[in-house]
Amino acid sequence: MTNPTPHQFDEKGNLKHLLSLEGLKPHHLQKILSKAETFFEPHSKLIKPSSLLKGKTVVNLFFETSTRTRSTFELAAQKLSASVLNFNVSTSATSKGESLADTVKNLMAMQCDMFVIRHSASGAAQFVSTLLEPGIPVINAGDGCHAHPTQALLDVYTIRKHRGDLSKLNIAIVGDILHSRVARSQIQALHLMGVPEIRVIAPKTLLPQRTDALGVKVFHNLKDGLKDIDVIMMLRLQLERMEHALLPMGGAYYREFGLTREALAFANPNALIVHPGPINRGIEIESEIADSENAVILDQVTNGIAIRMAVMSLLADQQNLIGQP
Amino acid sequence: MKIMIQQGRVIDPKQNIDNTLDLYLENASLVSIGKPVDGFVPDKVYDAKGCWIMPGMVDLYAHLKEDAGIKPQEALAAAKKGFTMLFCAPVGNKATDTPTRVEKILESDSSKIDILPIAALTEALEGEKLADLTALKEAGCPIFTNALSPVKESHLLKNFYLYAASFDLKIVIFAQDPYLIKGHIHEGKISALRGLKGIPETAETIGLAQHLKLIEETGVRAHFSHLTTASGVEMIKEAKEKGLPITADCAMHHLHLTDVDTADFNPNTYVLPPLREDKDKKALEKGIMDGTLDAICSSHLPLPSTAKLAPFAESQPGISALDTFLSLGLHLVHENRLSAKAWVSAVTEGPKQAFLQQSASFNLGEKPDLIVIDPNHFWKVSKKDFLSKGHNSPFLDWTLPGKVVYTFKKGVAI
Repeated sequence: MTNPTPHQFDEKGNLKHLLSLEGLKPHHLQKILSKAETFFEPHSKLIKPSSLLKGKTVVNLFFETSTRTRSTFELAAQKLSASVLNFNVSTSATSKGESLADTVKNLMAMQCDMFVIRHSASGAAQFVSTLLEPGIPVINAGDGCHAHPTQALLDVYTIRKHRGDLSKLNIAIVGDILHSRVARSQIQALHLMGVPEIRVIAPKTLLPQRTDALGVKVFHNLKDGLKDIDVIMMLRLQLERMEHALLPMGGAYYREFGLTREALAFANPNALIVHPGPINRGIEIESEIADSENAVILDQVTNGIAIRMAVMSLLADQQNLIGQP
Repeated sequence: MKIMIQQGRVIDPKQNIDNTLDLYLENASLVSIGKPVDGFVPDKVYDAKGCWIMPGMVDLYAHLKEDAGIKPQEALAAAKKGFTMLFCAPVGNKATDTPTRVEKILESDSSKIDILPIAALTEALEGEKLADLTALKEAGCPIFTNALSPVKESHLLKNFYLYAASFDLKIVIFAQDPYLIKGHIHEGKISALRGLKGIPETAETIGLAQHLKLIEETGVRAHFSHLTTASGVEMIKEAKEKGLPITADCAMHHLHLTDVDTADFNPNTYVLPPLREDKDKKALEKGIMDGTLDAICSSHLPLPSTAKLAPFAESQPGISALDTFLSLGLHLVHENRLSAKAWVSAVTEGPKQAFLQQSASFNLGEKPDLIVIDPNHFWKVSKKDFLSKGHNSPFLDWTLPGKVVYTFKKGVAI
C-alpha cells in the first residue's frame, strides 16, 4: 500500500503532524501516553499548567460542532500557555463561500503556529497539512468518517489507567462503526497496544463491507459479542451522518444493541465502559450504566486534556524524534 | 505531391500487418505499402526508423466542450498528442441537445482533426424528455448518450431505446446504478480504512443488467463506456456471445490505477466511475486482449487547479488525460500487459468501428489518418509539458514512453 500519511513524519523520524494513528508504532504511542502522564500532579486528577507553548498561537479550526473536543483542545493549549484562536465556522468567511484552502492561508498569514482541525470530509486534516508552511503542525480533531486520533489516544490512556496492560484485555466496540472516525482510530490504537481480541458489534448496515481490512472479529448479536469482554467501547449513533434505511425507526436499535444491565451481564464482571460522548441515554446506553462505577466517561474527558497537551507539546518541538526507537 | 514514410514498424491490426515497411502516398492517398509503385519518386521522405506507424488515435469520450463550442486549447492538445478523431461528451450548462448546438460545435472546431459531438439523449441530459435524435443525427451527431446523468425511470429508458432502435441509432451507456454510484471510491478495504463512502461493484453490475435486458428487448444498438469491474467485463462477454448488438470500452486510467492509489486522499485520483481493485484492472486488460472490450477511451476532463484544491470527496472528479494517453498505452505494451496489436486496435480500429462502423485501417486508395510515434522516447510527466489547460493528472512524475513524431490527417501532415 502507498504511504497513507506521507506528511506525518519527516525523513529524520520527527512527527510533524498527527493526522491519524496509521503508520505509528507501539513505541510512538507509549511516548505520547507517558508524556500525558507528566502533566498530572502525582497520584491526582489535577493537571498542572506548563509553559511549553508560551508565545505560540494555536488555532481551533472547527467546521463541525463540538463541545468536549474543542473545549479540551482549548484548555490544553491554555494550560501549555499558548494563545488560542477559536475559528467559529458559523461567523466566519467560510459561511460566505470562502474555500477551506483560502481560510487556511489566511490563518497562516495571522501567524498561527499550530492547527487543530475538525471537518466533515475524510482526509481534510491531511489536505490542510499540504497547504501549510513546513514547521506548522496539524492535529486532526476528526475528519469525516476517517480518523480521530486524540480520542483514541485518550481512550487507551483511560483503559490503561483503570485496567492496566491492554495486551491482557479483550475489547469490544459497539455501535455505528461505518460512520465512526472514532472507531477507526480506536481499532488502530488497540492493535498498537497489543489487544489480543478486538471485536466490533453492530448490524451489517453500520459496518463497512470489508471489515477484514480492520483486523477485528465481527458480531451482529450484542450478547454473543460481549462474552469474555473486559472493556466495552460504546459509540454514539451518528444520526447526522446516516442515510435512510440503515436502521428501523423507534426503539429497535436500543432493543438489539443498547447496553442494558441485562446485556452487560454477558460481559466479564466489572467490565470497563468507555464512551466518546455525548452519550444518548436510552438510545445506545441505559442511564444507570452510564452513571455506574465501571463507566469512566467523565474521566475520559479529563484525560483528554492531558493527551492533547502531550500531542501539542510533542508537535511544538519539531525535533521530537518520536519516530526513532 | 508524393510522400514516402520510410522504414517504420507499420502496425495495422485489421490487416494483420506488423512489419518494418515503407508507406507511399500520392496526392494524400495511400498508393502502396512495402514496395513503391513503378516510377514513384518521392517529393518528400519522412524518416520513421525506430518508430511505429499506426492509424491515428480515435477517442470515444473526451470533455472538450464549453458552452460556446470546442475549447481550442484542448483540440490543439489532442491534435498534437496523436489523436486524429475525438468524440466530445455532451456535458456543460448547454448540453448538445439541439441541431443548432451541434452546428455551433462543429463550426467552432478549428483543429485539423475530426472532433465529433456525442449528442444528448434527453433534453438538457435531464433524463425526462427525449431529444430530437434524427434531427441531431442530420446535424452531424452519429451517436447519443445521457452520460453519467441517469434516466431513473425504467419505462422512460425503454421508450428512449425503442425510439433510437427505430432509426438504428446507437446509444452510449454509462451502466451505473444511479443510487449505488452515490459515493466517492470503490467499496473495499480502502473505503473501510479511510472512511470514504464506498461505491459497490453492484453499482455497475446492476446498471449493466438493467441496460442489457432493455437492449435485448428493444434491439437498440449500444456502447457501454467506462467499464470498471471484472464482473462487468464478464457480463459484456456473455452478452456479446449471446449476440446482443453491443460494444464496450474502459478508460485508460482504469488500466493503470486501483483504489489503493486513492489511499493517500490524492484528489487527482478521484474519478467516477471509481478506480477498482487489482483483479478488476487485470480483467479490463484481459478484456482488451481478447476483444471483449473494443476500445480504450481517454475520459479526458480538464479542470482548473481550484477544482482539486479541496479534501478528496469535496474536490471535483476527473483526469486531464489527452497528454498522457499515448504514453500510458505504450507503457502497457512495454510492460507486456497488452500486445502492440491489441493496444493499437483498442485506440484506432476498435473505437472507430464501435461508433461509426468505419475502419481505421490503411486501405490503398484512401487518405489515411496516421501517426508516426517514437515508442522509446521516455519523458517524465510534468505540468509544464501539458498542452491541455487541465493539469489534474494522477500520473504526474511518472516516467513514460512515447512521443508523436508526425501526424497525418487524411494523408496530409499536420
